[in-house]
Amino acid sequence: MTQLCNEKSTDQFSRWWAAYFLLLPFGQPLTRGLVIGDLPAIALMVISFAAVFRGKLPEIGKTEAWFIFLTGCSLLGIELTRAPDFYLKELTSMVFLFVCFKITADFLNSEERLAKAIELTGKAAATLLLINSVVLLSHKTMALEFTSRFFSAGEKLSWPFEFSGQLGISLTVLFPLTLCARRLTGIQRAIIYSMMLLNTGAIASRSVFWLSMFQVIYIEFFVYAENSTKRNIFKLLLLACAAGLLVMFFGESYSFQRSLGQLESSPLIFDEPRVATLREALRTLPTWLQGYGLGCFKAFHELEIHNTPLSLLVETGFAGFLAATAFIASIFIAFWRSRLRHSLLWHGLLLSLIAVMANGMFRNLVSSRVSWFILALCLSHRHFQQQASRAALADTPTIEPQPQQCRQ
Amino acid sequence: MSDQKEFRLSELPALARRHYLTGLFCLVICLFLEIWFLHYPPRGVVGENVIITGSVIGSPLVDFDSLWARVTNDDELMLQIIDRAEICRQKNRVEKLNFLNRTIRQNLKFQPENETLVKISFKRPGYNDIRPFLNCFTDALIDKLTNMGQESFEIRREKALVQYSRAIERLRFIAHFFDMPSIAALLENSPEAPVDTSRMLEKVRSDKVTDGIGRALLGELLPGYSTAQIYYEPYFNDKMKLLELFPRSPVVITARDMPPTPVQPFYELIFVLVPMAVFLIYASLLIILGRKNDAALQ
Repeated sequence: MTQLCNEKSTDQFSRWWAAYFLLLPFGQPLTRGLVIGDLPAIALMVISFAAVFRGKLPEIGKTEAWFIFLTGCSLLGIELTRAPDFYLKELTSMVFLFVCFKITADFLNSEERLAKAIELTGKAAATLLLINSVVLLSHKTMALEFTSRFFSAGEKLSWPFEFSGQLGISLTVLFPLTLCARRLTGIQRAIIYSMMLLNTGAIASRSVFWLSMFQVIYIEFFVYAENSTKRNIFKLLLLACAAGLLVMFFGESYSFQRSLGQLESSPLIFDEPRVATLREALRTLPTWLQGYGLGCFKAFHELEIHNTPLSLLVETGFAGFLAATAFIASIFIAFWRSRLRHSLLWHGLLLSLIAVMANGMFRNLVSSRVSWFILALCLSHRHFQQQASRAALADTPTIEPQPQQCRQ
Repeated sequence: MSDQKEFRLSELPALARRHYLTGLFCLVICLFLEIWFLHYPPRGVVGENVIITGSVIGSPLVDFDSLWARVTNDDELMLQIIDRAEICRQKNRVEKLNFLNRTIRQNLKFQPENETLVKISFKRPGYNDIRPFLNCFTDALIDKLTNMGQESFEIRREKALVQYSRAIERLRFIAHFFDMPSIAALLENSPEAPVDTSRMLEKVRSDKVTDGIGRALLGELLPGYSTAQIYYEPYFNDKMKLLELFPRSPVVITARDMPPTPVQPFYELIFVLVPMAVFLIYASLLIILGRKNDAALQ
């Protein structure tokens, strides 16, 4: 307990933590499924395990218990013994991300730390937006040979990730943190909005683009709400102009058209590969009691289920799905009951959480680092409730022994 | 209210004692799953029968695809097999037909290994129903194969005999017409005692067959005779060693009591994974119940 107080009172970030928060938005692949942000994460894990061996036990609550429950359900997968390599790979990545999630949530046990972590990550995300914006604007010029490496197949912006979808998830999930870490001026916000829409337009993903549009509108009209009707109308007109400019300059680009939803011959929502995968997933219905096996669906169908809840339901069965739902619900409850509710920071996290849920409808986020990071930030809010309750206990006379107070 | 509390491993036994019903429940679930998977492995079990369809040196006597389609789509025949195997617990005819459609036909398959070797497989959730049905079904199939095969064999045999006899008569005619008594003597007991072409050629070379035209005609007829004789041999020679590989009558080469095997590879691992899974679930339930108690106390 004293050690915990000491840690909270210093509020200093070690280099490893700073590196972790800064590198998180950059998913540059290294080797064997690792990305650049995993290096500081591994170092932090080693430090945490060393602390456990020294006697500093981790805090375990309902959230962790539901994850253990989910892991238990995953062991009953029906195809597990037929594709053990796929299962072990998926389980390893899930456990790795959970450990990162846990140590991050435990580390961010003060408002200052939380604010600093969000500020660092937000700045890193803004840097990523800036780099990609420069690349996009210079893509059609003489720098084509240099900028082509920033795009994946089909001219979709993907740097620093392997696939454009991963970049889309990272941007939509971290974008609110960029704007809500601290209050920004109108011009700063306008620049960030422009960069964001430029980036998401180039990713060629409908869900990412429209989600980012929603985020821009929500942040501008609800988070940075103004009392003046004239200013709101002015903002709306500015946004419309920005949209018009975007269409004018990038309307002919395939990626931009696809982001808006215009495919060659198909309507807005129809997407044959996704529908085919959905059909295959529904055919596994008889196995949903036991679960197909974590990570085993793509072993036999060559495609991933692009929907996180459905993927969990198919692969871990009803019990695993309920455990995962309870896991998310416990995080949300801790987040919702935070005393920081309605603050700028809290709003940003809420938007990020909504982005995670929305992206989860169109992609499998079980192995998404940024999604687990946002969940960790949300779970860290349980510390603030606890501090509030301890302070309340300290003030109220009671027969029970008092919790130890931090010495100033 | 937060559920945060420093967790100690030493709390687990105390929690387990306090929530003994949870432990009992998990133990029951574990045992139930183990016994369930012992009798009903994941993805079911499959029994196989390998049959050699009757053939003449590898040429099948019956088209197995057509026979399979004919038998499996014959509702009456299939119902008789089901009744004989006693695997359908329903007594109602409509329910039996439902059972036939949903259970039997979906899970009964065949796979040709080569021209004459066919593997019949039948899949079910448990071990008990497979062998009785598979044996009865295979017996019915073998009966049909035997009858049809015999008929086909007789027809082909007749054809071979006619072709061979024609070749012999032609040779005899030439032998008699051009006065070749040695050749005629060779063919005296044919077709019952077939004469090899090599012996025929030897006779032609050694005898003083002076008539050039006769010899030339003999030479022209010998290839036809040889072909007819090769074609005739498998239908009448019962001592050919090839009959072991390609018997004329269909044969089931799988033992009638061969046990079915689980479909899932490494199926035995499930007996390790189930306790591990239940243990993790038990531990998580203990933690959740423990935190609930703490919250209630606070």
